[in-house]
Amino acid sequence: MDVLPPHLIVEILSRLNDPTDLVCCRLASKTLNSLSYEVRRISLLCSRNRYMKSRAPETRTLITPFKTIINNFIRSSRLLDSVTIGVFERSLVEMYDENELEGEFDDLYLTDERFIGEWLPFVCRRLRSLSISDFWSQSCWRRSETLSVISSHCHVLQELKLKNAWLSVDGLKPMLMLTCLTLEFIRLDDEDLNKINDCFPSLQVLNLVSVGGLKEPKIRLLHLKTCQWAVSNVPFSLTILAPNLVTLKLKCVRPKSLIIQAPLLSFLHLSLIDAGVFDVKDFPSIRVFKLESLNLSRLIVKFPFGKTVEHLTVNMPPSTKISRPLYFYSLFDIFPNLSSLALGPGAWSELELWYCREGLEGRVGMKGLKEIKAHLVVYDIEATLSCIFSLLDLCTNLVKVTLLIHRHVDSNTSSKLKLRCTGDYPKIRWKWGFWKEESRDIWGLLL
Amino acid sequence: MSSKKITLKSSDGETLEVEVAIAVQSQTIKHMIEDDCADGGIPLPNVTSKILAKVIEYCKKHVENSKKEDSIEEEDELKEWECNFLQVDQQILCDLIHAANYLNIKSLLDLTCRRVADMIKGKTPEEIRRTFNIKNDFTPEEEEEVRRENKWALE
Repeated sequence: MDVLPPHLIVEILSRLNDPTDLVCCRLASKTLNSLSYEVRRISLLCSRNRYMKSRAPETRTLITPFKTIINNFIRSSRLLDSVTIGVFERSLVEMYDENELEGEFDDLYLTDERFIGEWLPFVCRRLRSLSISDFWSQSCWRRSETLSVISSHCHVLQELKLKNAWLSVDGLKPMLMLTCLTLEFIRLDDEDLNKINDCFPSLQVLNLVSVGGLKEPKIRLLHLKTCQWAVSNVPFSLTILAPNLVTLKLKCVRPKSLIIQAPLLSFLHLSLIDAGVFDVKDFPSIRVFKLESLNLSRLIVKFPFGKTVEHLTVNMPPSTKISRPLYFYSLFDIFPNLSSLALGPGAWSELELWYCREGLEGRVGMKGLKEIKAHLVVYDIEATLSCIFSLLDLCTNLVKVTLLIHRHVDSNTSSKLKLRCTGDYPKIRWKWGFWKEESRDIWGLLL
Repeated sequence: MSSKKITLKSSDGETLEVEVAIAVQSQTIKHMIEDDCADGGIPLPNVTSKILAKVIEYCKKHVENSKKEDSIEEEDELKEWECNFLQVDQQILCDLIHAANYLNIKSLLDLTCRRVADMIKGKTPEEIRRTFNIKNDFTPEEEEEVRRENKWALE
């Protein structure tokens, strides 16, 4: 490693996520020690271990306060362009179950604007990316003016992520360079998102995950390309006006009014129970559509676009009764040019139930289908196999079939399934995998 | 279908013919082509043929990958490929970092630097010295002082 020039050693040191590793490098040699202060990015996380030690009577006085560590580190590393600070992640249950006394402390209250003001001026001139993940028990009842401080100092900031905080928008100034904003588990005092829209006009990526305090939120951003929005049922209406939006992931419950105007939309993930007034303007470029809803059959007919969709994914919560008519048939009427179709576990089990009772009929669009992906729970292997085979017989141009089998299905059954499929339909390219609830294969689960 | 090719000359005199679309993953090469300095081939005096071949292999994979559909399976496959690609000894890894920097291929620089960072992860100072053949040039007093300044990390 001595053969590498200093700036390349700094590149390597900048990629050490754990500051403990950086300190070990400091102790290795004088060169590494001095170069360590030139790192470009840092990630300082208060671990559960450190937190426990800071509360235990025998170690409480021996532990360096986390805020002191952050202050010292940042002030001595003047070339930082990316700062991530945070407190260890707790589960939702832990968060709400917190010891009430915790609220009296503020040693881990990271979005305290006075604390931010202590170190931010030292790095703000170069700072391009800032991420702060706060400690809910200490931050949820304290209203923070941190957005004002950040916007006053950081003129070249491009990415901002704030998590677990109560944010005021008083004093928030325009940040014209900001292109990516993520707010997660935030109580935001900007009920219609007016200040957000006005002060961050250059946003290209916006992620709002569990942001509360909203009444009739309206996203109106000219340059927005990617948007992710997971919102509770509290807001009365949801509006998205984004003429350059390409990708939208929206997870809501039952908004009384849902308005989306995004003529360039290509990729839409929608997860909801139902919507009252549903004003979805035509999406002439939409290629990939994923829909998950309790009322899938009823909702799917509300979408006026369908001819351009090539890849469709549908899912609903599993139910024991069969709804008429089968959602499956209307898919091919509404989306006549599908080349690939993916069925979530609820969607597949409804199809299988229907098949066992009524059989499957052909539809025009089925012959255009090239790929199918399905999430299976195999209760009765013969029923599942017959349903798969019936589908294959109807979709005569299928090239690739991906079957994800639930993790709890025993391996004998899975092997038998694989053998029968590859044996009876050898021309198909079979791909196998597993799924279970909450894993990556499942996109969104309804309440 | 013929695609435009360009000749690259390594430091040890070997020539390599590469499609332009792949070669321009290197910003250095891209600028040389744009500035019209590419006639007769591009000399790369800082890159040996062995390393150049590896770099081109990487660029090719990335051009191929950019044409594919974004999916979890493709991501995993690329990660596996990159892992195999970096199964090389320290010297070659070091040379790849130099080459990625000289040729200005941001993603390759990121990948190779991350690999070295992963090699540092979890090691004690002595283990770091041993892995990378670094001499301890601290006096005991100096070492103690650095330890004191950073005691928070060792708590």
